[in-house]
Amino acid sequence: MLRIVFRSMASHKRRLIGTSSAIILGVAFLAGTLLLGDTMRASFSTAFAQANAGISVVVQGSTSVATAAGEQRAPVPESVVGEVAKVDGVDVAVPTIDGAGQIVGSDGKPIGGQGPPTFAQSWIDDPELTTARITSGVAPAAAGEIVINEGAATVGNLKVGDKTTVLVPQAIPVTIVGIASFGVLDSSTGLTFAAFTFDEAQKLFGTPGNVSTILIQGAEDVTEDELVSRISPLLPSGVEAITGEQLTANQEESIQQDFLGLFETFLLVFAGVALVVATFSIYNTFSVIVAQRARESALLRAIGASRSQVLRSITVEALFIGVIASAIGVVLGGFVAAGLIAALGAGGLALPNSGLVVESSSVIWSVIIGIVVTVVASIAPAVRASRVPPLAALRETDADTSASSRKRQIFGFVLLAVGLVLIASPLFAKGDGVLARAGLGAVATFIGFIVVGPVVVGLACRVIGWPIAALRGVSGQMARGNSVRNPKRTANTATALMIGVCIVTLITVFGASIKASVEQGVAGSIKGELIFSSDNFSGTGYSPEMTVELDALPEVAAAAGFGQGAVLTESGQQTVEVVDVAALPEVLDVDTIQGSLTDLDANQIVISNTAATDNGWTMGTKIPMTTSSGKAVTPQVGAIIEASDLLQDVIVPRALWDTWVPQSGNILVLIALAPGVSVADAQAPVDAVGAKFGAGDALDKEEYVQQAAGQIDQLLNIVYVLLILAIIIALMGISNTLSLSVFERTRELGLLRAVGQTRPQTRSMVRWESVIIAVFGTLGGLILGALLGWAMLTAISAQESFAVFALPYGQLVIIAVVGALAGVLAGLRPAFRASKLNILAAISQS
Amino acid sequence: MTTTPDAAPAPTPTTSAVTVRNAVKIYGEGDTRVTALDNVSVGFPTGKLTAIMGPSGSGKSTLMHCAAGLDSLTSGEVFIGDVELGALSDKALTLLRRERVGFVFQSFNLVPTLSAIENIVLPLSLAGKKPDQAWLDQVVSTVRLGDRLKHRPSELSGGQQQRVAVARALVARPNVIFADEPTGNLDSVSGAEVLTFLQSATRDFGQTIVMVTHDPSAASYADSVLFLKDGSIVDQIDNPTVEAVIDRTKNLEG
Repeated sequence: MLRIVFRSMASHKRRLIGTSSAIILGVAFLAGTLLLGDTMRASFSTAFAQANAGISVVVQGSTSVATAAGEQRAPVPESVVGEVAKVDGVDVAVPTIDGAGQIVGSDGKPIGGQGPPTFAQSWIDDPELTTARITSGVAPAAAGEIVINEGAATVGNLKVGDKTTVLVPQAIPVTIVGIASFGVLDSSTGLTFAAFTFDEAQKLFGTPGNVSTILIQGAEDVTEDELVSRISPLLPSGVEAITGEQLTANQEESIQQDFLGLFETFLLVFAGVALVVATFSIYNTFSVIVAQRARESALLRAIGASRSQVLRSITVEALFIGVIASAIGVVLGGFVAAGLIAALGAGGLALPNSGLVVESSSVIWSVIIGIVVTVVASIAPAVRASRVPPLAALRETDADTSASSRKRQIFGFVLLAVGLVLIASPLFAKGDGVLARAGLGAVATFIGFIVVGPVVVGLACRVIGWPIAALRGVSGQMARGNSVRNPKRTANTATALMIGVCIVTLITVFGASIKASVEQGVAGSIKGELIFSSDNFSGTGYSPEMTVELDALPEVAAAAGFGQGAVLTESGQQTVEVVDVAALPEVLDVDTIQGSLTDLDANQIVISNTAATDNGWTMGTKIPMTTSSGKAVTPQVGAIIEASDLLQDVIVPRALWDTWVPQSGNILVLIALAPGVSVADAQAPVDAVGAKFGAGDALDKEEYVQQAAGQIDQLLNIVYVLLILAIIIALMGISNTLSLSVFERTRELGLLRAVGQTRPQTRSMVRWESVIIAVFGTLGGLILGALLGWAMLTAISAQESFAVFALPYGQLVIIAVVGALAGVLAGLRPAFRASKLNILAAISQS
Repeated sequence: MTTTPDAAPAPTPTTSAVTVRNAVKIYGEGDTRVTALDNVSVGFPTGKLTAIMGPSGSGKSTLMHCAAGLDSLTSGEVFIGDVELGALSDKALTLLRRERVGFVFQSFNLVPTLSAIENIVLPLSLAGKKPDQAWLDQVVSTVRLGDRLKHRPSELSGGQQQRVAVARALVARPNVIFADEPTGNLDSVSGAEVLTFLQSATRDFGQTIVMVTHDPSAASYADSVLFLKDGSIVDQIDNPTVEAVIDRTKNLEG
């Protein structure tokens, strides 16, 4: 039996390649993602380990809050430095001040901030405790002197002796006295470092009497653990000591959580989509193969093969294809990972250590998933093959042309109806579980669509094919006829494309809806005419001083800065909006429910009605919080406003926040102009203030909407690129199935050619069939994607009371056109094969 | 170039719809070399039904395929009307088949996705031409399909399918129709119907038909029967009867 399998595989090499390519691509994407993750993790681990090599023990604050700028820890009292230095076994104890600061380049624009951190810190002289080595110039010795890393110097075109500014986020005028190499963490990662003297660092981004950490180098004869146990008893509460090894482990964990994990999950989602699409393609190919081999299976059964032997023969074939294709996919995945690393490098995110790192677990998982996908996809066709009665060997058996069973029809339509009712339910019944209901409805609708496909495919393809049949003559007519000849096959082939297009559409609809929501928000609620908006998410933001200076301009009626921070409350971490509350009503439409925004006490904050309901807070409630600097505070609710998508649910006045946390910038500044002042009049003085703080030019409302739309488009483009693979796999599926269909119709094609069909007509017939299938899949995907997008946005708006649903007609038309063109592309190879058919061989085939 | 098999009639191009001159067809090389046609010259007279008979491997199918432009000769010439096929490109051959040649095969004559009437007008549709309605009506009426014209081939009997195939071959008014074992898959009653239909096509419409068969009773419907053996035409009977055909066949094999 096994020999028959191999013979059969060997004699159908082309078919094998067709089936394998779907797996190869899917697995390559999966393996590429996992290997990229391995490489990035290894690369950062090595970098951290090297940077921390000389550090035996670190003393640091024990509470931490994750903020947009990374993890923030409570400070350590400076007095601790002297005490730990006296501990037996401690050779050196150096206090550090860590913060963030963006260096302004020679062109006046801040360097970096698009992802990699922008560090500002105190200069450490001890070469054992830092990887920094001065390559030119000297260490900072006085206020206003800094050392920057080589990467920042190159990008910002800065050299020793240059005068520039560091945004912390206040603009600090500095002179570059030295340039240092920071070892493996330097330049290529896009990180920037600005090192000040300890005293200035403490003044700028630390707190008086406190340090960020104490780095300790131990004597040679003391272990790190021993040193920790000696130091720990001396530390006040809220301060801890960890070993250098633990520090590295913590840093690895934190970069995994903040960046690598998200990045990897993001890519894995798309690898998953590609694999699901691949599963459908493989399932379909196997179905066609099994149908074509029905007589062979029947013959095997007639001469004594058991049902399970036939079943096994197909499964074994699938297993072999799975193993070989997955192995090739993993190798290809290595190249994918290398390509991605190169692409990241070109985009300014090069890894500290190049060279691909391959973890065995990534390889094993990729291969296992590849094999499982193949075998699972082959099970149903294999079972069908085993049910072929031996008698079928004796009669002419056609490929399966049956439509779907009644049971399937009923099941499909019921599922679809349930799904549609569920996703429409938020229109009538808002409240709890809206999202869960919509999610469940989306899944039911999605599966319903797939199940119903073969039922509607006949009618749909006849409609889609109508213009083709009308315009392309008899070849178009036959293309339409061929597309509905085998409803199940056509539907399955199209399903793979439908899934891909559905996701593309969903993402497109989401993007358009977010844009529409932003536009509505800007048009509806923002009263400020000029806007500074920072797209610089790992930078330091705009200095609060900038808001103050803007406010003071005669052209400006009010300027309000918006920043974000995080605090720990009893129920966990809470993101807060940091705002110049008094100016808020002048720049934004705010509905105050209780209290007054202009009349808050120093210790009072503002909450939304949502936060009030969720937490049971009312006017006057005192809310205990721990700030990211480790401070315990208890602000009081001084006003309650209507929740808005432009504001967080907890709003802390800027003045209060600055007493809690050092170094906090704004990411958005809204400026309302004085009566009678036009945008044109105000632009120049406002921009002049912005330039002082490295903020670029202020945007008017329209420009702001465009900027936001541009950012969304950028993200969408990345997603589209990642979805291309799934679409390619789906198209290969169409191509593969059509090739098999062409093979099945050899005699018919021979007949057509004999009675006068020209080669171009044959090609056009196959190509148009491909187009009809592709358009069916594309339209299904468009409808499903738009439906699911509508469902999700309706549910979100029912729960969150914002979000606008928008259908981007232009883009949807483009998707449909691209789908049809892709059908032409997928039809190329089968059309070519059909037209190259030897007529004589075809008609004399018995 | 000069040898003409003794029993073959001298080709007379003026009255022949299809003329084959000194046709040689050789398959393979060296040890596997097979001469399928060995210098055959023959003319198929206009308006007549000619049957080609011969044992398996005699070259009768090859002769038909080459005469129809489906296969090319190793040497020699084929004329359909006054067009020499050897000089034609694949495209020109296809157009020639579409306009000047009709086909009826043993089985699988119809496109399953098209209805009977759509199959009948297929060669015209492929050429982008409208059928001559009066002629079409006449052809269709002789097929005697009645209300089944809108049916798909799978809903027709074998005899009905073959009659549709003949109608398709007739509708473009080709110079010649080649029928390859047209009754091979039919029972005797259906077969007789199809053969009568072919016969009446020559008598009523003046259609030239060349039919390859190994069935003496089918051959007896022809105006003349050619006998092939080992790639050469070895005999001919005009106005054959079943008995005469059987006799000659026995002689050939004996």
